[in-house]
Amino acid sequence: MKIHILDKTKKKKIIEKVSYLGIQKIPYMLIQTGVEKFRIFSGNFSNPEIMKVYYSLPIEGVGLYFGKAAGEDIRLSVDALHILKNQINKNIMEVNNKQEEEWFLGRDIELTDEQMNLKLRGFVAVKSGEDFIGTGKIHGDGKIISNFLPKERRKH
Amino acid sequence: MMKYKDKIKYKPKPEFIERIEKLIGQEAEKFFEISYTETPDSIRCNTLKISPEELKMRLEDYGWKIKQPFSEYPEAMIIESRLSPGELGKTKEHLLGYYYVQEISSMLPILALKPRPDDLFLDLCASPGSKTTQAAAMMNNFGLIIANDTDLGRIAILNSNLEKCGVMNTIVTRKDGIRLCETLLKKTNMKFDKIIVDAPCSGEGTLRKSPKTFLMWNINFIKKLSRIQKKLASSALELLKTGGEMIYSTCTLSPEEDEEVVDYLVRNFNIEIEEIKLPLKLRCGVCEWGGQEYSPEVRKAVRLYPHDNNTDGFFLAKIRKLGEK
Repeated sequence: MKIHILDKTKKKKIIEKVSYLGIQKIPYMLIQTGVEKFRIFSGNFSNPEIMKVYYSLPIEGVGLYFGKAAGEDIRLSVDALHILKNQINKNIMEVNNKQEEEWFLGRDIELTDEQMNLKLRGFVAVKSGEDFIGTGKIHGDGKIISNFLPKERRKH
Repeated sequence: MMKYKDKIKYKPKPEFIERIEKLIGQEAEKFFEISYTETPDSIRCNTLKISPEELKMRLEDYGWKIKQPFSEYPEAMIIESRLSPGELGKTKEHLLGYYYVQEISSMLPILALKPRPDDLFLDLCASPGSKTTQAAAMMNNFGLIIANDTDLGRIAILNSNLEKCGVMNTIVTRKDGIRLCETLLKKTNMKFDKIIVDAPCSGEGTLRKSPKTFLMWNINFIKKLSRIQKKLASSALELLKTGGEMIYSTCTLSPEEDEEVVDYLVRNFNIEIEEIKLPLKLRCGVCEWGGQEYSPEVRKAVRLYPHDNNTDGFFLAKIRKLGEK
């Protein structure tokens, strides 16, 4: 795994890309892995210490998968939503029990009239009761949320 | 005495029966009887995501009867209701990582080690991640964990479980455990406050979920494993800070893989074995086996037999490093 620890300037740009959810700070080290993917790391280890381990050992993972760049935004992972849930106050789509069932089966969700009236577009944090259950995307016609829940987090 | 032999598809080999009888005498009957039953469903609440109180309430809403066997560790929960196959892994709470399906005995090494938020922690044989995720929760995602395993497939499972549990303080490495220790020592000079070596073993303690172990059981394999375990544990001890603590554990009951390894460490390193207090019926380590007498220190290690607490079988020793060799 190639890793690149982001400096303050780059981190600021990433925060802008998740501001659509109301997130204003990421109090962890941000690490880029590959072109589009980002991870957050809370360990008590400085940049040089991490790089020392990185150059000495085959690293297969560091911290938590945060999200993937998608156009102007970053699509947050379900676990990153959980970590930053106290900051998320925008673009939240609350779903009902039936929609939650569909979501965990990996299916796209058809929105109700009431949900469509919210006129949300683009990436949204999908919430069921108290739980954030993943990031979805509402396309142009505003009728459906596309489901990005990874396979291993679905009911089979 | 041999009636359990005819009960099931996988029968214990005579030499295995003989060894268990030598270890626990007439209780061997109970040992083999329970080996053909399933362990109770048990889970560990992931406090990085939810409190035990809230999780318990949610699970009780499914109609599940939950028992918390340890008052000082409410995270451990036994599901006393009879669940349908796969039900435990299909709840929203499981998919979101609010709990980890984990056998009670497997929680004990981390309970004995008590990692703290400022610790530098090494999990040398980490996959599938039950102990790494438990340690991360006790460390509240602070400090640093290096979680290592050798095989890419096992690393994928480890990474998946770390993600699901919301673990952020971990670096995952893929290397043979002995080589990893050598490399860390040579190239980084890192020393750890706490280390867990949950060593690959013959799995005699896991017969309840893997009855095929009866078929695969082989004394030569045990002897080979014992040599590997000594090397692994010795390499790990080199990385432990003076005053630091290490757990050596296995899910097997063969003394060659358990007390013999600890005895080897006692004789070759400046260490002491610490007493382990856990709220379960524990038995002390054996001090003599196969004509060999082990150091009296080895008695402080603990054994769990499946019929004592209705768990899997397990062995653990808590080691404190007193200084360099």
